[in-house]
Amino acid sequence: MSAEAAAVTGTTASRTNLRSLWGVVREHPMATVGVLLLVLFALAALLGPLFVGDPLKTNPAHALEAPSGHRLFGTDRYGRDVFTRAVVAARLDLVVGIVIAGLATAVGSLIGVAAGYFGGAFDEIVMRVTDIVLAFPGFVLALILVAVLGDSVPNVVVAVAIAYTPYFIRLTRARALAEREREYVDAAALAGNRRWQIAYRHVLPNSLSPAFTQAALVAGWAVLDVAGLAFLGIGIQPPRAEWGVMVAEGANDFLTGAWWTALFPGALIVLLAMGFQLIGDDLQGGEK
Amino acid sequence: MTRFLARRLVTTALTLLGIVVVVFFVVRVLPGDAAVLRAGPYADAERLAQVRADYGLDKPLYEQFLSYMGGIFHGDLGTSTVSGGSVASELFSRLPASLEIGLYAVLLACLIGIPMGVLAAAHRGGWLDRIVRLGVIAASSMAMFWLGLLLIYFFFYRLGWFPAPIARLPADVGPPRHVTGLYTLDALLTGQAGLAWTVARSLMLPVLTLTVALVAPVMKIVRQSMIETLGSDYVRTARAMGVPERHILMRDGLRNALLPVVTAIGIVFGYMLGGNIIVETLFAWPGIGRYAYQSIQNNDLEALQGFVILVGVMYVLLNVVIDICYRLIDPRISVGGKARS
Repeated sequence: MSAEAAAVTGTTASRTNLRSLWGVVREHPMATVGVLLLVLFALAALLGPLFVGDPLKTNPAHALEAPSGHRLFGTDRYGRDVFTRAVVAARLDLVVGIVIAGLATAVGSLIGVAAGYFGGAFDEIVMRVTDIVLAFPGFVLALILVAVLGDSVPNVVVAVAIAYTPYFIRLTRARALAEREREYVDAAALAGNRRWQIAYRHVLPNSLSPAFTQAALVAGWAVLDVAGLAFLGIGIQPPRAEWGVMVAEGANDFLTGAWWTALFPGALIVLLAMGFQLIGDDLQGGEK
Repeated sequence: MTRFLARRLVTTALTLLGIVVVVFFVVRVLPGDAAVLRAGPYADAERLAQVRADYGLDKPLYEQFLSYMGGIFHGDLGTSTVSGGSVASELFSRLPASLEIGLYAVLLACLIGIPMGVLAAAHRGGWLDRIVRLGVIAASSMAMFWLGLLLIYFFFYRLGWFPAPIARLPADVGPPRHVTGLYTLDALLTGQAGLAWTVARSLMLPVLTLTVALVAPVMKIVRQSMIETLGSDYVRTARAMGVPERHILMRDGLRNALLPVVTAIGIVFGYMLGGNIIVETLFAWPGIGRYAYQSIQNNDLEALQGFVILVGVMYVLLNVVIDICYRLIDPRISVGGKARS
């Protein structure tokens, strides 16, 4: 094959790829927007801090300046640059949402599969405990946990993750109950696998898909919960650059006319949550 | 039905007991030293000993638990460390204010969410369906505290349509005579239409804020269950027999889709009980959510724990009622099964 021919096949191949990518985009317009949003936030989280200054640097001479070409999002009452703080906060808010969803998925599925596959007393205890945890509205449970554990980022992450874990336990348990009856489980048992090996090597991977779908939605809710707690002064504390903290700090100035202090960080919270929700909605079957 | 009720009673009692155990564990065992948490980080040894004696923290754990639970059975949720008053009576005096926002928000969310969900399902894949789906995603991505601020900014600060977000009534207006504790209802019952309107104007922004949070799950669940119903065998049969589409939608479809609506209302109440902390804080609304916020600010753990227990108990009892309704609508359904709160 000549070099020229190879180049031609190369371009056709990439053209087909492009076309099929376009097909996916056209089939899933809402999820595409979600992915784009998350990519933007991920870029801001990764690279943003390299391009902006110190988010804690105060400048009383320039307090509460309206947005301008020089200061895109204006300044807050301490003269801190709102854009700088908003960019730096992207890393914290994005990571917190993903880690909470990841933790709840991991712990929830491990427990859920064991409960569904082994059944018996263990299953009964797990189900009663999830009943009790679900007896509290999630936000209220997270609130009292952080109030007792103390204000810190890891404590908020653990508290919110605990509130969401029961959903994943229930989802994977229900799926594992169905998977337990499948033929490959019998085959694995006949092949001499131990029970825990069957549970975690065979049943678990086949029981995860509903949990992954739920994880995308939970990441979005977790972002809102963490920011909501921060707004109430619980968990992540000022002067840390976090969007919920920024809305709380700007709330009074917002209501006396300095709208930029709370408008921008709040909008970013909503956009990040929406990125996760758009993807979760598509994974859940979208139109179905 | 009797057997169902008996079983439900037992599981409910177990869950209520579980709530007390969880809250006890969280506030007494988890912190390591519960006395330090109560006395604050700057307390000296003498003050710590005082706090231990006051709250019985020097006794063995099982004894603490028994006296704690005994108190709850007598409706005693402890004493506020800040006001010195009974937490239970402080909470119950604030409950009507919370219920007034919450009930209107749930009602409004159903009035908007159910028809939208039904219409979206009927025109599945069409432009209306797209709008409803986008609406669900937008509403479930909404940060309530930010939305509330925006509403206050536009409708109070800019346009002046609504009174200042400070409590249930403007400062120069007295409350109606106490009948139910819900000011709108009380004002109407005592024949003060003008006062009812004043009360309603103060209610509108907080109710609107909470409604946005509640409408998403209602629309989503109604739409999904309606789609399932419309794809079912009996609807296909009805169509084949020439029953008009409008009849199918309103008579067969909606009636069968009502079951998930009942579930949705249960879930929505859970959102409401969590969301009211943020809404009441924003609007300085004197309900239990603001009480919880203030108790956090004052490090008043007894008050916060009372709030959490009250909310947990209300939520469990509500779910019992919903289970019974469910059972009445559809006898085939067995006990259990609850979705996200």
